[in-house]
Amino acid sequence: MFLMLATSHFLLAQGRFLEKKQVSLWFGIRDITRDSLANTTNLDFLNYLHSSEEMSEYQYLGVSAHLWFRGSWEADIKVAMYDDFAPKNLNIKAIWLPMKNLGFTAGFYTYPQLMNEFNMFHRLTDEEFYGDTDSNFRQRMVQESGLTAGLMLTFSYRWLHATAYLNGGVSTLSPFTEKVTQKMINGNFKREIRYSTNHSPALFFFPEVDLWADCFTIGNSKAGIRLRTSWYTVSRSVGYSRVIYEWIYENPVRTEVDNPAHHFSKFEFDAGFYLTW
Amino acid sequence: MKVSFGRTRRIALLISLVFLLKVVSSCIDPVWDFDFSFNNIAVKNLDNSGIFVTGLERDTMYTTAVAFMVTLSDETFLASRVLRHGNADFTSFTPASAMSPEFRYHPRHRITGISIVTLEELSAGVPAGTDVTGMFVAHVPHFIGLDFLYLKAEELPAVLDLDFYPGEPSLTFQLFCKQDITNNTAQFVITVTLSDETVLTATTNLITLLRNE
Repeated sequence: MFLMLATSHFLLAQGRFLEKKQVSLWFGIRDITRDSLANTTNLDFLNYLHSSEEMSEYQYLGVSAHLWFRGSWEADIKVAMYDDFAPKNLNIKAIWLPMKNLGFTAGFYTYPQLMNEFNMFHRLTDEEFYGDTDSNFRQRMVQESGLTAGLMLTFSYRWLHATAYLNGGVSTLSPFTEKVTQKMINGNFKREIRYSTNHSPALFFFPEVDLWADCFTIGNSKAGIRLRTSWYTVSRSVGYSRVIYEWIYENPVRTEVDNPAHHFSKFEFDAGFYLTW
Repeated sequence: MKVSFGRTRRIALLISLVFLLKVVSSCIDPVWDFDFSFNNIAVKNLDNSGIFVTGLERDTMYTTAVAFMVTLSDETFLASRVLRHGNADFTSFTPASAMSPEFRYHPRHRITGISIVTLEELSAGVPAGTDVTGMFVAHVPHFIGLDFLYLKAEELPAVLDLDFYPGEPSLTFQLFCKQDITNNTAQFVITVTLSDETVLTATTNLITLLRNE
């Protein structure tokens, strides 16, 4: 709705520059595949990104707008949200089409994912301790954000339209801090471990395919069904600085930790309706 | 112009005036601040073998989990002696307030020092009679509840010395031994020194120590 209003406002102000516009509403699923490396002496947060045997780890509801400007420029804006209704999934592109079927894109992509029970590392490896005195389910949201660039291929045949994007770029996981508190079993000894992760820039590949089928024509407007699928793959490591306090909050032991790279991929499929006018 | 009240109105006016007088005469200046003296010290065993510290009735502890709870209080302070202003009588209501602040107890003499001396040999280098305050860390449950780790026992006087103590004329702190005691028994004398040179002393029970298997 916000996109529609924003688009309408933009149209009124800049109408002569805009040849066509489209809004869509869709629902989709996201499946995460990531490797899990064996525990070493250091906690590796990427072992705890939410992944399961289920078909999809996340479901999302999204809206998008595609704008065709006069000349060779287009813009594509996608916003999606999980069940928390926070619009934290963004996929924004500026598109330049020097040829009828071939264009170049540049944009910004960001989406959140869950990191669950990273304290299990300490509960499993620190056998003489209560590995984490915090009995709550330890979960945090991490945001992966990146700049994209790539090619766009677009085809239309009568009522069927298809667009393929071959995106690549650099992305990073949002840095975060975490704390794990431990107490010795049958002992007074306590320690507090504080983690502060670093930026983790990595190259990613992100192809997308959009498919539209016109179903209805009402005046100059067309409505139809929209399908989209994408695949995202990246190899990334998350390093951090670790500070350990023992007994009291003095004389901390600081360590910089570099972890091995993990392969990570996600697959998305969503379907919905669109209106073009 | 003649103004006349009916009998009912006159009685209502009279009752209202009496009520207003009672309300006004019921207003008091409540006293929430009291002076007290630390004149009593008590020590209890703590069980710190689990994830959270609890009270311990036995005199048995792990060698790595020797812990005590110390309470300083005013044993002569009686709540019934609290000065009450404005006792309710015929002309006033019982004083009350929607949000009563907590009582504040001001110590006549401040805490200036805390020391711990072992009555048993802790290890080969720590014979009986040694001041082992530096081998203890502390936790003050109600004053510093947010931090997970301990504070040094030497820091206790500065932490415990307050202008007033809210709620009750006493304070409690916990002591935890950092040493892995090699002896089979342990016993300590805990001494608190006040600003008027008063010394409060408590001796722990003789603790039988268990080895961590």
